[in-house]
Amino acid sequence: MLARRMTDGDAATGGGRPPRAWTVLTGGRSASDEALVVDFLRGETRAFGELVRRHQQLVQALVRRYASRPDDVADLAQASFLRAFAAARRSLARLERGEPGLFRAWLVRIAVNVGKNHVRDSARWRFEDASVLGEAPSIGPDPAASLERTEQRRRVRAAMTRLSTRQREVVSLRVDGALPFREVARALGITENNAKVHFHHAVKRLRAAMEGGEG
Amino acid sequence: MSGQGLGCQEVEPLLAERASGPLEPEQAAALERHLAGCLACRAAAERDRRLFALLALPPPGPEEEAALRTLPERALAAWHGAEGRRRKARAAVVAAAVLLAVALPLGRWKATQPELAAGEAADSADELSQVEWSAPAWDPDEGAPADEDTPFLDALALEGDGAFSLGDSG
Repeated sequence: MLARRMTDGDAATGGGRPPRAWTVLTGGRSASDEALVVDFLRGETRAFGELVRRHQQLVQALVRRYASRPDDVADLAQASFLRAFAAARRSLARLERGEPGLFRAWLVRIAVNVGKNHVRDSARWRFEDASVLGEAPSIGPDPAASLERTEQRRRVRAAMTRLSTRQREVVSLRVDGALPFREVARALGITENNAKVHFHHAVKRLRAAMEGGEG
Repeated sequence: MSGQGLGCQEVEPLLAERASGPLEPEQAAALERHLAGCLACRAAAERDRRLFALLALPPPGPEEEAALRTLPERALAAWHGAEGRRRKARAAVVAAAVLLAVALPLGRWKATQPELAAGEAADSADELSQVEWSAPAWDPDEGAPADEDTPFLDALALEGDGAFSLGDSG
């Protein structure tokens, strides 16, 4: 639960300004992301930790796709949060209006961009080779089936690299972030219908690749 | 969606959506009802499940998890570090702006000084030539000029020096 109260310093702010409120975090479920960001930017540092904890799994899931090494994941996640807070500071008025989901949409979009920039800088794309995150070829009781699965994975990931950037982004937000299409669309600045169209075009090619076609 | 439930054609796109992430609760319920009675769509659903399993990344390893456990604290420290640098950079910009605000008018003022000096020098030269021209025509043979002329000439010499020294410095 979250309660709002005045700090001792509020009286000191005086003048014609509204009193400065901050959020006491005791669970955080009832405070919106936007309210927490505003609290943080007004000096309540605990709101920062609460927001990071709230979204770090999502951000981690999104940036892992672009990480070159396991160590990169935390760095990319951190960079995403810092940029999202910096963006929030520039658009404080919008946040104060309480536009729901705004911060999360920024965060998702920024995480994807941070990942893409990292890939551009390191000139590699993670769909093709996920081994850097500790993935080993699975050898089950049926070696022939395991080999076939490994080959399918290679073909599907290769097909991912041949998709358009937008298709890849939609698939990645869906697979890695498990986001509803409404959120995928908002993060990418497209309509929900458009997001689904990109998704289904991509799926057709990926299915063909899995079944041994070109993809 | 009809009152009869979803047909196979309507279900086909939902299969990949279901395999890749969440569906709207109503859609999910209608899809489950259809799959319960349709073998072909269940096979297609299994194909899409395998497809997205191939795309999924492996779960995070212990090293990755450990790094992420401390993310809130590290990110906050990084934010404060960046804020400190930002404040310093802003202070440097303000200082530079103040310096410019002071230096620009001073520079402009100084830039006008050589012209003044040159003008003054020219004036002095004119005066000197006039002095020579209008100098009392005493007879050298008659000795030094009269005492009352000396202060005037001394003052003129000082004035000339002053003008040239200004011109030199500019």
